Amino acid sequence: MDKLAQAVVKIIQEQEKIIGPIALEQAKKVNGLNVNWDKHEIILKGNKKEILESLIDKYKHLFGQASVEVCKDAVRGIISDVPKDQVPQILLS
Amino acid sequence: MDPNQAPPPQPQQPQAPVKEVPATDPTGLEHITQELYKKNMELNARNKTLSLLQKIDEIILSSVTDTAQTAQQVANVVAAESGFKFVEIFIVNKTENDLLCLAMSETDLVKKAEGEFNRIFNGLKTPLAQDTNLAVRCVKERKVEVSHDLFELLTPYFSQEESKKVGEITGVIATLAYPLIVREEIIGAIAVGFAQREETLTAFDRDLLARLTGLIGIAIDNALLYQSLKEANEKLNVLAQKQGTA
Repeated sequence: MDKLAQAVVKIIQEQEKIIGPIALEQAKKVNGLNVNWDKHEIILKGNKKEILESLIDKYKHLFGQASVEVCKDAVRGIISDVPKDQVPQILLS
Repeated sequence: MDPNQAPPPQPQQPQAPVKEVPATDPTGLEHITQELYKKNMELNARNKTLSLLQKIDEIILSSVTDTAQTAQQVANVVAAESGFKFVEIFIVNKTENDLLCLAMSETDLVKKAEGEFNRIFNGLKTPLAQDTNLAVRCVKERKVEVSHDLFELLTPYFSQEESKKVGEITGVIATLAYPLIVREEIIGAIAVGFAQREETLTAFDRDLLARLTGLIGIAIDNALLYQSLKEANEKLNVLAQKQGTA
């Protein structure tokens, strides 16, 4: 699994600890994001950066900035060596 | 009182501040959802802390009594559960006047750094005269010390360049050293490596670190006491045997 897919899995996992099954429900609504959660398998179809950004936006829309901070903390160790132009700006700010 | 006179003005009661309901959230549900999320975040952080502290309790109460093994298990479990880049436990050796690295968490990145320089952290002894060393300063000052330069922790065993490389491999940006104090006596220190500056530590990190140092101090002290007791018993047995044969 590439780094951005790993980041998606980690974000959903961390959000799940706070909001439970709603985390996965919201992730399944993101266009281009195919989730097989039983196997923790993620397929990103399309622009991976945009898909990741959409996922974070889903949580932000419902739960505000606190949820964005959770996403940032979740992926800190994963995206550190991903080129900055491939990472959504919201994770870099 | 003149009935024709207007009644005296009543003293104004302080008004509760009226919260403006934003136009985008007329029912206030959005605000409630966000506040509930924050509370859940705090609970999650607290649960993580309690779960880790319980694991350390289990180590303290386990059959492992060797000090180094206890320290190693604690360092490993803290690094694995907390996501800290490394956890290093030091013990003060008063006889040799140095600080012994009792345990360094065995994470993949730490092992990679050790492999890069063919040096292991466990067992390194830093003289207490080495005032530039972060852990030594922490022990001497009996307070938390912060550094953004790994060289301060790794000196004198790693050069400035080598320390920079270790930082690049492990992804450490900030290191905090906490004194381990038991019964008002400084017994050692714990150094923790972070992937971000200490100002950006999460609520979980702060809560955990505040609770962790006391418990780790107890774990190490417990192991040391047991070791002393074991050695004393062995000496007594030898003496008893000598007396028996005399």
